[in-house]
Amino acid sequence: MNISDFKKAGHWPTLLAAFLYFDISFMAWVALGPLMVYIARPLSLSIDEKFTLVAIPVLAGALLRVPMGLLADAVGAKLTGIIGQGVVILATLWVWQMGLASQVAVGVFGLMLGVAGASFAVALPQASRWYPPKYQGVVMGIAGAGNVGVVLDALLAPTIAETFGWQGVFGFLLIPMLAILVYYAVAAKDAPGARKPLSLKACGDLLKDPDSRWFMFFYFITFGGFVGLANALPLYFTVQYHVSGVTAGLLVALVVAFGSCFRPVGGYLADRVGGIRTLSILFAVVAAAYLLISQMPEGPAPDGVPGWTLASLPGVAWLAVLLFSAGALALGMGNGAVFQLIPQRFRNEIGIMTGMVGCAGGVGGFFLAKTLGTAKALTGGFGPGFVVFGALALLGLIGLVMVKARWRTTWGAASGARV
Amino acid sequence: MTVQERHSLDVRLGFASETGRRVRNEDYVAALAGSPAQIAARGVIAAVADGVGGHKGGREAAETSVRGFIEAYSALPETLGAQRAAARALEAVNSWIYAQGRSDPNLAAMACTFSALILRRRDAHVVHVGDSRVYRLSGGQLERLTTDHTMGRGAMSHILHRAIGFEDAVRLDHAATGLRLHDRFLLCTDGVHGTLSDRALRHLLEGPAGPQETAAAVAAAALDAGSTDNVTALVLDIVDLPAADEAEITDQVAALRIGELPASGDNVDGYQLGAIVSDGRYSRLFHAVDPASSRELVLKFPHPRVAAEQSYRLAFVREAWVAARVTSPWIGEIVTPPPGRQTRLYSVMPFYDGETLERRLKRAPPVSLEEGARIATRLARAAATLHRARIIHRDIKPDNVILEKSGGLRLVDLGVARVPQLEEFPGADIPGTPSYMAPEVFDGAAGDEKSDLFALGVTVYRMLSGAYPYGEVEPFSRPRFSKAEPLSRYRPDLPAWLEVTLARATAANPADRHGDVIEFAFEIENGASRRPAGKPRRKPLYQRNPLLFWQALCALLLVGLLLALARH
Repeated sequence: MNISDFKKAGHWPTLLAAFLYFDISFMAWVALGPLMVYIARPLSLSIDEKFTLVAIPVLAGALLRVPMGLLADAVGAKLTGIIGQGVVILATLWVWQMGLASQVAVGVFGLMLGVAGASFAVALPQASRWYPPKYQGVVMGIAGAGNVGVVLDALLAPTIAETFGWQGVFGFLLIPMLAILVYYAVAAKDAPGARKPLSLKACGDLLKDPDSRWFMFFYFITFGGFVGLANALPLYFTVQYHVSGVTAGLLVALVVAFGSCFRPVGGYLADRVGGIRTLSILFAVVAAAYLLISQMPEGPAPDGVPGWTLASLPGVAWLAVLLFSAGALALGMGNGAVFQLIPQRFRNEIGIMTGMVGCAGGVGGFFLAKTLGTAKALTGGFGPGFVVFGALALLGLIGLVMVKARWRTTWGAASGARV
Repeated sequence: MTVQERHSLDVRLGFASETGRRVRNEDYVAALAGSPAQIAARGVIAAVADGVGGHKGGREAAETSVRGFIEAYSALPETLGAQRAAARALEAVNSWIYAQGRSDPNLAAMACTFSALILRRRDAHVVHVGDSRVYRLSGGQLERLTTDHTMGRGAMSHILHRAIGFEDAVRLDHAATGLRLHDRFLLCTDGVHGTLSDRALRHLLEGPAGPQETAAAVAAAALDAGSTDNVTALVLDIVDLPAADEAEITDQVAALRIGELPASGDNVDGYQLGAIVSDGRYSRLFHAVDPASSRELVLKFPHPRVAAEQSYRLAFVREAWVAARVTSPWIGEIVTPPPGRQTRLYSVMPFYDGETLERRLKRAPPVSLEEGARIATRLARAAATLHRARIIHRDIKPDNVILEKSGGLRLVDLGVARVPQLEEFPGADIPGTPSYMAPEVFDGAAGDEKSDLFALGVTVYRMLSGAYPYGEVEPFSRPRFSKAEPLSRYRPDLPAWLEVTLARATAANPADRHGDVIEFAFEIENGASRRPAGKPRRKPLYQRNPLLFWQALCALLLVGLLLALARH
């Protein structure tokens, strides 16, 4: 690919603005995860409640995509983007100054952060509409690289929280947020030409196709697992293995980095040996990882000190990190494999399908965090929660076999061959 | 022709042929147009021939060429394309005239020039041998579409070096060009262009007169200018052209609706539907009876969910169109319902009593070498039948092969077939079943005889082994065709020649495959008949590995020696 051709092919300031908007939004969206340890301290919340609060932005982000998408259709992507960033900035400003005094306040803040999570529905189409089909892969790759936001969060937030208090994290977050809002307002431009509006009827028609339901389920497992772990693991590590907040952040950053970086590898593998085959193997790995984790014993508690540091981490916690890394790697690759298949299977309905599948993924994330919390509350251990998700991954395997059987057809079988 | 404003090819023509100052008219001219439907299907043919002076039977040669060519051309299947059909027709005519000229002393060395113009849809094809000419007047420009096959200049300028009847293999010129509305064509013999300059011709053709008057005027002008030869001119005007984009087929498809799927027991257009034969993602097949002829049929209905997929809609009509042009005991027929009977989109096929090869593979006993060879050669013959008519099947697989109870074999489903000579069907996506698709098809090739051979090879490989040479390929992936699995891995009992033949048919590089499917069929047939099918005789160890034999013997003796020593 020629860089100068690429720059001329669309509107790169918009692409950059969309990438930054997406990246900062992603950081805001998952910020509650690593910080919940600190936020919850004065509120004396139960573990179940903490997990629920962590999951709220994920669910809100998934569900808010629809209204954000509709709004973008109605008033344009740029204005919607500015409104969305404005809401998140105001909420962040409020929290930085006022803090979060109650469980309800945390929940409401989580909803506001959901607006940031819904930036998917605005930023990605906004960038992609400027570019011709042959650059779609690159554009989506650049815009989607915003996923790194999660790693940055997990890596930096706990350290900042230790030094400046957790509210300081949102203070720091405000700096890039405002800068990006200004750049976005100046540089981003709505692509010319009318966009085909999203119709609810088309969604309904698509839902009648069993393939689309299976794909939503697959992404529920892969993306739900990825984003759910990103949000729930900091809490999990502190509760189950008694590590300090900073250490938990570092460990989660490691796990999530595996998921983010290996996403393209999953897409590549699916191109080579087939998406179904790739996903089958990945689901098996995911199921194995979840089931093994469910059997792991609780880690020993340190004497006196508030939590293990990286240097003093017990072996069992390292083993857990290893298993989670393997699982996150498979989940991240699974995300890539699912999105290698979707554009080819649903060539004509790609826009709607992306939205619906993404929504299912977000709901999956909420479900994972919520299940872990509920399992801890009901049974006293996280094990059953992971067993549920391991079972879902196995169900995904069955789904793959059924989808595959339906694909023994003549039409469109080679459509992806000329990409 | 239901829609009035639909455009189709329409021509007006006229001709004149004068003996002039000669004794006999050795020119011959004819044209075939016919009804609009005939024109749409076959096109318009106009031909002129000039019996070669100085040879006996010149007139006979000219007349035979023109009549024979038009007759032969119209009889050949459309799928061949104008160029190939014209060449084939003219070759037949030439060999006949050449043979006559050698055997009949009255017609010794009979020969003639020949120029024909074939108009089909929006294209003109010129087929030409000798020194008659074809001109086109388009937008005020007169353009000559032929080259005279004469020897140089001066005194030799009229000596032909190529003509019909000179050699037993004719060397003809072919040219194709696009048609434009209000083009005017002139076909003439050298009596006309020998005396009239291109300028004079253009002046005559540019006039407002109709084709008949113009042709007469050209002939008269040539005689006035002192032509001593026979003068013949044919003038043809293009008065209407079909729309540029889609074939007439598309209009037909658009007219038929895709309704809700009928149920067993329904009556559709007089067909009594029986049991469901198969129910797939794209279509549902019913066993049906036509009370009018009490014939057993199969009706294929498209699924309403694919109504929006234009390419799939087209497939229905394409299948009917292609199948109507091939009749063979190896190819599944398509029954064309009488006009007016069909009110919705479906296709009608005869009911073949039997099972698909796919189903045969799923049940015991496994396919034996004899049965496999028989199926393979027949299947290859079916593919060859299509290839001879220049049709590429593009979806050869066990699912599309019906083994009839009567012992016959039918290759079915021409829905995605390709007719390279008539590339009227838009090919947005290349269809096929991934596990049977050749590497070049994955690279974007539209599919040709070699890719059909690949699919055939994979089908036979799978029939015998149950596996695929490159593994099962999943939809939406880009497989690597690195190394094929040898057949002996699954069936070590089968002879080696079969493995070699299949490896060649399924070679990743098209150039490494057989020349055509006939060659493949020949190798299978030959191998099967020459070599008995029984298990290869198991060779004794001494023959297979003499070294191992002696080593084993020595080891045995050593053990015996040690035992004997231990006793003492």
